[in-house]
Amino acid sequence: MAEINCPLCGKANPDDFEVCQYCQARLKPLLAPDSAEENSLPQDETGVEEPTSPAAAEIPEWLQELRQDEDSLELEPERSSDELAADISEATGDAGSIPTGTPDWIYEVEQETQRDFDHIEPPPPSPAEPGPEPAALPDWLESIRLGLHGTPGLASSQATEPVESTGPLAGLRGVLAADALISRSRGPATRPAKLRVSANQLVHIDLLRELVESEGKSQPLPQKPSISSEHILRWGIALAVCLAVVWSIIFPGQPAALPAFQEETAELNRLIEQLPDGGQVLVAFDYEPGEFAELDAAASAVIDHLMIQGAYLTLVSTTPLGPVLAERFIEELQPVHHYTAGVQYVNLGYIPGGTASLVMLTGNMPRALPYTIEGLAAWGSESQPVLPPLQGIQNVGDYDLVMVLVDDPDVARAWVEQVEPFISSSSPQGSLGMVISAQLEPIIRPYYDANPRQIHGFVAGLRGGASYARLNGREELVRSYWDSFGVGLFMAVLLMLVAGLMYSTYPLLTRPSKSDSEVKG
Amino acid sequence: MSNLDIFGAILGFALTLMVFSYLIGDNPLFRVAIHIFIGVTAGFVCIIVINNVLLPRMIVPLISGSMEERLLAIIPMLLGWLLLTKISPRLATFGNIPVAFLVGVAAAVAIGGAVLGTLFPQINATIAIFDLTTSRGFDTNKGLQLVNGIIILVGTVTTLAYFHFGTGPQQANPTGLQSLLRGFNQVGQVFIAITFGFLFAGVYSAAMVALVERLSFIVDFLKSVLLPLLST
Repeated sequence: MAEINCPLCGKANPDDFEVCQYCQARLKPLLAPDSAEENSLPQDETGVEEPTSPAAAEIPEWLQELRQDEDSLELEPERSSDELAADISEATGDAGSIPTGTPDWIYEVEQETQRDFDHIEPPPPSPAEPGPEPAALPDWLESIRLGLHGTPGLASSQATEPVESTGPLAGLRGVLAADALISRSRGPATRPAKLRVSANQLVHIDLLRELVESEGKSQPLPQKPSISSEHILRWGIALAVCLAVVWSIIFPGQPAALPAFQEETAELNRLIEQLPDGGQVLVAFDYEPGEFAELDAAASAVIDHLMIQGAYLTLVSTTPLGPVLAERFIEELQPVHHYTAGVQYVNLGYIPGGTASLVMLTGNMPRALPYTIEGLAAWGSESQPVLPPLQGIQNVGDYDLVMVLVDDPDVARAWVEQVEPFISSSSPQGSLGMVISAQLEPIIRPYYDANPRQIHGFVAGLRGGASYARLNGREELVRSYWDSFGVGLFMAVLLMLVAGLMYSTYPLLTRPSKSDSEVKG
Repeated sequence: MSNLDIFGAILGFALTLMVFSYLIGDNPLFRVAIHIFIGVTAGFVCIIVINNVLLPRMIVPLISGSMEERLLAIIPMLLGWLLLTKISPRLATFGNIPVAFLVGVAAAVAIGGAVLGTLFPQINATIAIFDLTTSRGFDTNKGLQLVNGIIILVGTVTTLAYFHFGTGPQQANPTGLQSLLRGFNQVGQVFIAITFGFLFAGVYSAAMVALVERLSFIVDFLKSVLLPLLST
């Protein structure tokens, strides 16, 4: 069965349908062309086919009335271009001049077109084919045509426009094809892909591109001079200090006097002097290897004094490297005092836990530190008695003296805060002494100056150790360091003075003189 | 002197020179020496922890201890295993238990000690300076004690005032309180500068002792080891 597409919706319908079964649009023209009458249909000069007369029964009444009105109109003969131009001139009221509002070039084109039309004579009508008489248009319609096309010649372009053959608009020219519009696929509206970028934005784009590209590239570092004035100054200071110290070591001159004792040093000395025979002392080695030179020099006279007094020593440490430093320290003094491990002293090793570990010392020390550094049961077993340094000891309050060798202010403060209150409350003769680095003295001194004292005596740095050694007549323990130390300090003070003088006088020397400024002025 | 002592002395001499080479700037010798120190320290700490902590405090009680010791050793062992779960992001939640325990205990001990061991005693000591009836050892001069107390009081107050940042920006016509606080700030700066100078002197003193010790070691090494070797 043949099908016919709907001109409106484009869907297929059987060819015997009059209207579309989907959109109810008419599929066939109301006036079906009769093959017999088709050849006799009048055609106008533009070739437009006159619509065929539909059957009277199929034509609506309004359309029949409209056709009767058209038939009653008398067609006027088509006017020539001269007549039209004359009408235009009359309408503008300025014959021979450029119409108002019309650009010059349009007027010139119109004039040339007019001249071309003047040379062309209209062809004579063919006698064989007389053709229909031109339709007479009303004046208002003719004026609209002139207004739309501008020139009479453009009217000929209508001949190329198709004539609608089907549907309610059948017979009209220039009707837009509905089916073509509907069936045409509509893609997304195209936009111009090229952005409008200003010159300033282009500059910024280039700058951003350079920045992004430079991120992945290694930039060469600026070349620094291999030897600068800073290097020379550093080497000069180091050379001066080192040469002075080495000179004092190689060629020791007249030994310098050791410093006089201070109050805190004398207090510590008094505490050790008052230790009973076989007194028990807890010694904590809480410093790092980098500070061993100062701490060993400062503490050697103090520990030596303890050994002279015959005190039993218990060595502990809250730092992992402390037990080794303690063994090394005792070994240094071993040739003089012959202290034996497990007899006169015991090394209980490392106390894990930091500050919290100090609280364990105030509790049950046998549980907190059950073994020596050699792995022996420090507090006795079935086959071994309690080691002498630990006899009668259950907590830190049982010691006659607690001595802390420390270089860290936090660790020193932890000992004061955690252990000292327990010592003071549990034992009236118990004391806390310290051997500290010189840099800790401003921090530790307030605990000594407090009332009641929280630290009962301390030795600060090499100077404190030297004064303590002088107090006990053991100057040889610190003599090797003290003289060179004094030379080094003297050199440092000298360098500071020289640098200060240069810093203060250099601007004066480089300032332009008054005569120079007057000459320049 | 044994061969081991000679080897140790040579090694120490070489490492000392490598560290001193930092005077000419950062260089590979200095870096090698630093890496050796760090590696040796880490290894030694590991051995100390195993021998001094894990074995005697956890492993030995678990193997040969009494029932009480075994129960007490299980708790730190479990907490230690839970702490290891921090390695895995999925199981890290279980590690919060030992971390919370460690932080809580450490904070409690530190805060309690700071308040009772430092704050209250130091405030009390600052007040007690003006108690001229109290004997203070060698310092028996009451006048000096009073002057000392006034200096400490002024230093404490002005130093604390220096860390008070509530005076706002500089104004053309400050109020009386702002002028007072600014005066305290300036005096506090003097005390802080003196304190920093004292601390720097202490640091320099400690460093100087270390330098003297190292240079003495080098001189002794050259005298006792290198010169005999060269002479033979």
